[in-house]
Amino acid sequence: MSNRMDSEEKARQERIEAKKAERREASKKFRKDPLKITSLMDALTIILIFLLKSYGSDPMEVPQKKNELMLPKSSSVSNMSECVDIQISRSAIVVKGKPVVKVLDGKTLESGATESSNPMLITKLKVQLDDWRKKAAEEKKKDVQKYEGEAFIAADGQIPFKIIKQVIFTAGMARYTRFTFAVVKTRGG
Amino acid sequence: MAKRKRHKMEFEIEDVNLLPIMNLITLLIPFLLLSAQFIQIGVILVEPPRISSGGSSGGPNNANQPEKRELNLTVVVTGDGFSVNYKPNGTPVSLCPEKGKQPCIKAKMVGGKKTYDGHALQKLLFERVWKPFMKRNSLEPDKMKSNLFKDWGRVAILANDDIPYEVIVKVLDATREFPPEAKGVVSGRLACEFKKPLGEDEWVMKGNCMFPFAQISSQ
Repeated sequence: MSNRMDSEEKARQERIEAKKAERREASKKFRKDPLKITSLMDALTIILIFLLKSYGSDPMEVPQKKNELMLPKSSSVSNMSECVDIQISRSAIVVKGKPVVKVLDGKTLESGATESSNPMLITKLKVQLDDWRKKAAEEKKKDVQKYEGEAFIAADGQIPFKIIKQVIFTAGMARYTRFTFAVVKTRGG
Repeated sequence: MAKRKRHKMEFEIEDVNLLPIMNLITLLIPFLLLSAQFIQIGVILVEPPRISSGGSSGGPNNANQPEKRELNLTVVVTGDGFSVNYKPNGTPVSLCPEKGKQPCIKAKMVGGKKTYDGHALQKLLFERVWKPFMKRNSLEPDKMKSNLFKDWGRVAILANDDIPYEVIVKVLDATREFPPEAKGVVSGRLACEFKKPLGEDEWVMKGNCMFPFAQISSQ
């Protein structure tokens, strides 16, 4: 009698064990399931394409810095083209990445920057611009004497008009006849 | 035969290993995010661009019609505000909504900073200069020969030495673009654009512009 009871008890125990093992197996299976990353991959690919598109689409870059060079905002929709760039920050006038003349207090040029006979002409800037115009003319295989340059002026919004005027006048003396001002677009285009 | 079947089944079950691609993409995204340009930089043309068609060096300077009048539209920027002058009948006239008061559009102090009202200037130029003369003047290359004023589309900007550059840009915007009030009067999109055809040196005007050829000079 007791033997039968024992064997029944054993059988029940075994059944419980089997069920447990089954459950364990099932949970293991669940854990083994691979992570579904297809949707994540889709999103990442779209982001990647968007970033690649916005990467280096402009022919030139203007590094903006707070309290140094912040371009003014404008409703212009025209895009820039490749040419000689003159940056006027609150500390210096930079031509093609090379500092040419210092700007003191963000307001005046360093002493001796302009020619004594003509306060509008910035001597060092003219030498640089002359060089760049000659290089551009030779690159395009045009007559150096007749070639008219184009200048791209990126100036800080707080720069006084006097310096802008001096730069434009100097560029004009160096036979630059087309000027473009760099601005931050406030509307799409 | 049986072997091939099993092989096929295995092939179907196996997942694509995306781990190397994920590694690559997660590296690329921060790098591109760092170097991406979110601020769009545009340009404003200052030298009058010559319009490509229409013969020798543009319409406004056409020497064949010396009898044409000049409008001499001038925007003066001082520390007090904007003034606008022009010569509609051959004599210089100051263009102000309230006569005798100088300047036309006063600069206001907002939050301790002097602000100039670009929209008021834009509206003034549109209502008082562009509208009265729009029928007899055009910026389209084939119609420019019959313009009443030979310097239509041009504006001179005179500014004091201490005026910040951003105010000049505001004036350039106000003279070049039509105000929102021009909707209905001007057909098409109210945007003035200059484009440079590939491989060429000259800019070409596209879109609707009010007075796009700005000349900067000193007082």
